[in-house]
Amino acid sequence: MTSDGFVTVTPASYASSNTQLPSTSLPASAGVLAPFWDQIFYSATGGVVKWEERTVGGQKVAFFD
Amino acid sequence: MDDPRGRELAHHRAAGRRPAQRHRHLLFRSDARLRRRLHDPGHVAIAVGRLPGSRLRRPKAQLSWDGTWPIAAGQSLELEWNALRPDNHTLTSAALFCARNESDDGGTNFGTPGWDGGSCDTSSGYAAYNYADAAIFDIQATGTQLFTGIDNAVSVNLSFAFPFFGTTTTQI
Repeated sequence: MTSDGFVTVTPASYASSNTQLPSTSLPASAGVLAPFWDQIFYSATGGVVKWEERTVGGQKVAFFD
Repeated sequence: MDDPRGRELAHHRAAGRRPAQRHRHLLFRSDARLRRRLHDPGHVAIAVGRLPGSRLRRPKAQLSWDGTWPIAAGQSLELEWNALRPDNHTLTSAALFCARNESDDGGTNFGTPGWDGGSCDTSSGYAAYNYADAAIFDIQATGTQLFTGIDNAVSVNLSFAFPFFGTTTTQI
């Protein structure tokens, strides 16, 4: 999980700006899912990104908020 | 292999009921039927279907536009945030769309689909709407914080495995 709005199973895959995809730093081979492809700002007083697992309808669901 | 949909259909058949129609979560259409439904003479229409858990049978949002709007080849359009509403839209101009066709220059332009320095109001960032009939799970009070700054990357270990790009993983 990255604060740039994407997930990947490739360790250390990382990018700091939402350039066009695929890019040198995030090639298609990295297996990237980028639903919020942008820099998500962290704020000590505002919102933070959290995650939690819950069981919904008998299935485990991972939430990222 | 477990087949929940097959079990559901068999259950309805056994009870003599007609199975409920399944709705796709996302629906993109560009056809005459949808244009007629929108009562709009536009050439192209897009509808976004209901969310999982929604009881509504109509699309969550739909809009259409006509051939007078200039859309250059290779250009992507982003609907301005304040036009994102769970209602029907028949937009009368392309003014609410921002062209997104620039590359990241390492400076002010962050490239498609990011801000390209155009005329759209991007100050409010992403907008989200809590649909009254859709299940919303708010984990802000109970979840685990992921990042402590910008440009962070962390690994999350899940208690279940899931398929992801041709592999199976328990960590993202």
